[in-house]
Amino acid sequence: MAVLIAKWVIFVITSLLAIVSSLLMITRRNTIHSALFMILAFVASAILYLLLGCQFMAMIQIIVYAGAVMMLILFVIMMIDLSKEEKLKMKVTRTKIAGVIVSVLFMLALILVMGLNSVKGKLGALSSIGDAKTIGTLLFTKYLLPFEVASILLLAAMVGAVMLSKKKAFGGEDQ
Amino acid sequence: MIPVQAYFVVSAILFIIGVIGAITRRNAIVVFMSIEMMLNAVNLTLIATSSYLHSIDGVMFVFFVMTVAAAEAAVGLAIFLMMYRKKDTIKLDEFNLLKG
Repeated sequence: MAVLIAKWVIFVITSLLAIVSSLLMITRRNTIHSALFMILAFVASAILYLLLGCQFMAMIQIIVYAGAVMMLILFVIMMIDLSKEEKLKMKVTRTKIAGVIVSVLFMLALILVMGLNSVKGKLGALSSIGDAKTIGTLLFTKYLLPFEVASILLLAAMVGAVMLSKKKAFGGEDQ
Repeated sequence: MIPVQAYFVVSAILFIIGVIGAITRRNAIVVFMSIEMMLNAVNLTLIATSSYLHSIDGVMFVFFVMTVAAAEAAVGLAIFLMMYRKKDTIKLDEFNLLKG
């Protein structure tokens, strides 16, 4: 019983943290503040993964998302002069109002459908889904082809990023 | 045990916050971060379902989503640098060649 109450307390606190920090992320004018709140939201969802018993994904979330991707974003923010963007006022257009209304309605529909129905499906045999051993074994047996495709994708992305950010195009003329 | 629906509600809220950010903001980097937030919300749903059905397939899916998100981040940020070099700003209203 005590464990359940503790889990609920952690769940409520972390979900509120995730929601509040992502709200702050989309409302701050300063881009660096946005990025820092984004890291907070990612760490909060890593704690939610831990609560679900998925330790490996929680670690990957912190290393890849909160670490590598956010570091890349912070580097780009540092390289670009964003003072003009930060002075921008919110421009309210009819399209934006319609979009926000539709997405809030969609959220209500999602909560109604997903929150009120129970999850149906065949229960698997695994007792723990979080350890690196299970994931690693599956990655090199059942999911070997997607794994290799992912490695090619990463290589292509790396080459693409280098090509895009070069000062001159490959032929030598200015891009 | 916390019901799986609670996780679904949280991830629906996070997803919609990401959608609203992507619709309303004009700073390209904030839009990009909102899209990452949407991916993150979907990952939470997949892991919750996977954990409640005692099946690891959802977790593997999250693994590949993260791979694609990392690749997307590298290419996307390089594109932002190009955009900045071309127009000296990354305000999204400046990039409207496809606007009808």
